[in-house]
Amino acid sequence: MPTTVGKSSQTRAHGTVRVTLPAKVAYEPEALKRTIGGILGRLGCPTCFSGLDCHFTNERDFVVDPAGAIAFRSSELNPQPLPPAAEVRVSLAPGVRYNIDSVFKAVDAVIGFIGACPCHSGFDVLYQNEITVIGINNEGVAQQYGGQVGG
Amino acid sequence: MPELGVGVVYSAALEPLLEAHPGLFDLIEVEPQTMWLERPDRPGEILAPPGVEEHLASLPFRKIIHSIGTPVGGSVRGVEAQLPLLRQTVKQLGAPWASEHLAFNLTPDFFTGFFLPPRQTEAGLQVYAQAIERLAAELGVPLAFETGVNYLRPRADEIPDGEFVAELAERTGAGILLDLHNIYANECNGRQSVAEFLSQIPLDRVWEVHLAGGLELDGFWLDAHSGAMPERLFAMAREIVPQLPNLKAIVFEVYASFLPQFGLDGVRREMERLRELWQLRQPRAGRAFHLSSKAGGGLRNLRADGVPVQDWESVLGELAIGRVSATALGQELAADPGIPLMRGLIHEFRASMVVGVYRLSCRLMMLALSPDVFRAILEDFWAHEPPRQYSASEAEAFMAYLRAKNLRLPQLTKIMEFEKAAMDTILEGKPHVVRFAADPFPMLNALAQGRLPDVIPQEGDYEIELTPEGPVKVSGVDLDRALGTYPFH
Repeated sequence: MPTTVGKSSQTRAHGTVRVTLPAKVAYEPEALKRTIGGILGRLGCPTCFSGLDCHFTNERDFVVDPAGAIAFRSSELNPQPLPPAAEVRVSLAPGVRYNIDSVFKAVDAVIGFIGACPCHSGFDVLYQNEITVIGINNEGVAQQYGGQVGG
Repeated sequence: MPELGVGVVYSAALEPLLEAHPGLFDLIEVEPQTMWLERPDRPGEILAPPGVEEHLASLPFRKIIHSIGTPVGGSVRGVEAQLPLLRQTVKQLGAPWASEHLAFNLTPDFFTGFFLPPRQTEAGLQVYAQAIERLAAELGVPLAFETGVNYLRPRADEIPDGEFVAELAERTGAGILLDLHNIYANECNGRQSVAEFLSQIPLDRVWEVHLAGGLELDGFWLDAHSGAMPERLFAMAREIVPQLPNLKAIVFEVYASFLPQFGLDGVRREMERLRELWQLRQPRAGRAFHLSSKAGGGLRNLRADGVPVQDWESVLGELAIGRVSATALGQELAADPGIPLMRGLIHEFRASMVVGVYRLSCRLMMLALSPDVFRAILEDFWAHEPPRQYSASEAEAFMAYLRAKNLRLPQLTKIMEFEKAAMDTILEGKPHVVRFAADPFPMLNALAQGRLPDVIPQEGDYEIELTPEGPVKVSGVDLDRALGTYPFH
């Protein structure tokens, strides 16, 4: 397993690419055809509160596959050759997951370890509970197969 | 007041149904605060986006107003700036009456993020009667107050629910918005039975009925507005509606976030059931049901005040948002199973507000850190910051917290910047430009699909200009490619 992320294969675009979009489209897929009403549902005051809003649950379910995996590697599903990219998968110890300072410390430890740079996709880094490649222990120290690599 | 018929609490997501089946609806009930915005950098300054009220006014239904920002079951008044807007909305939509909740969601120090039950004592009656009379005077139309859901156990030092409502109606002359699903939930959760509640209130003062579906969570029946009415509730409604001689409207409530599961067809079926209920009315002028007097009278059960109204609000509010109260009341209430339930519901609302505004940023964090870790971050935020009333303000407070934590997740800062620009463009009504050092569309598109990107972005100078309105324009790249990768989500 590589310890640094491969350099992205980039060809710098010539000139500036500029895309102009109405902001409401960011909130409402059909916004080009509809009123601002749907956007208000996102940005405004939610309706009367005495029950349950499942919006967050819907979002969480959207990014979690039915088998409970956090995400899939598109390369496994996409037959097209992909640019070379290193992959690091990270496991967080339960004690870290529920200690906020440890969470932030762990994220920093892993990002520092893989050598994050603004040009790579970044999502060669995949934190996943089930796969232990880099482990973050209860002290927030990142370890790789028992060897300390960050902290 | 006119007899309006049946309708639904309006949300933009229901418009396709309103267009396809206008004959099913006589009215829509508008919650004005859901049509307004607040700039996170100007709390308390309410914006009413142009064109929204005009659009609502143009819909071919009668409108009634259901306010959610000036509840009358509390001692702290809502944001003053909303009152002129509220009055204007009532007038512009020609609402014959308005309604508010007999609950509170403000303390002197913070917004609770949830409607919490009032203090059901004589002192409470005095405070809430004043609040009802003041709001009615400010709106200039008759006002009804809504019977609320209460997840707390009944207390020995409070007036029973029905008697409390009856006494308040008697003192104020206000109407009653009988939320049958709320009192059904109260019965399911161990409070007063629906039959007992109805035996204590003046049925001739019921102007409006709310019906909804709910769901079970942690042993509680929630007023979740999540789908179809329970069959038992519908059967009760069939018996109750004929006993409401001054009923003017029956309204179905469904929360927009449940529509993907429940479906517009589900709403259509419920509207047909509401029409069936409406046919059961038996208007009889002058008929009055005030069964509480037959049961001995509401004043019979007035309790010694004990805990003052303000203390009740402060302590219950603190506990509900996750804080600790060392007071005797705090320790007593903390043992009530309703407290952790409400705390959990408030957290879900808060999380939903954040993911609604910063959807892609949140997806990125959930995908990269796992939903559990993202939740842990949210919980730390909730422990340090009270809820905000408007989603944009809640979401921006969370993002400010994240920025201070300097979470170095690759590309997160840029995605947050993009989504903040989209929000600011809407709120400020002027364009914003976000610049990227690499092609942002693979990431935006991947997040829109709920995954992480599978390509490394091409370096270059990229700009996305977000405008309040106007066409999509592209330079320097193929239009189809840009449109094909825009994060429709």
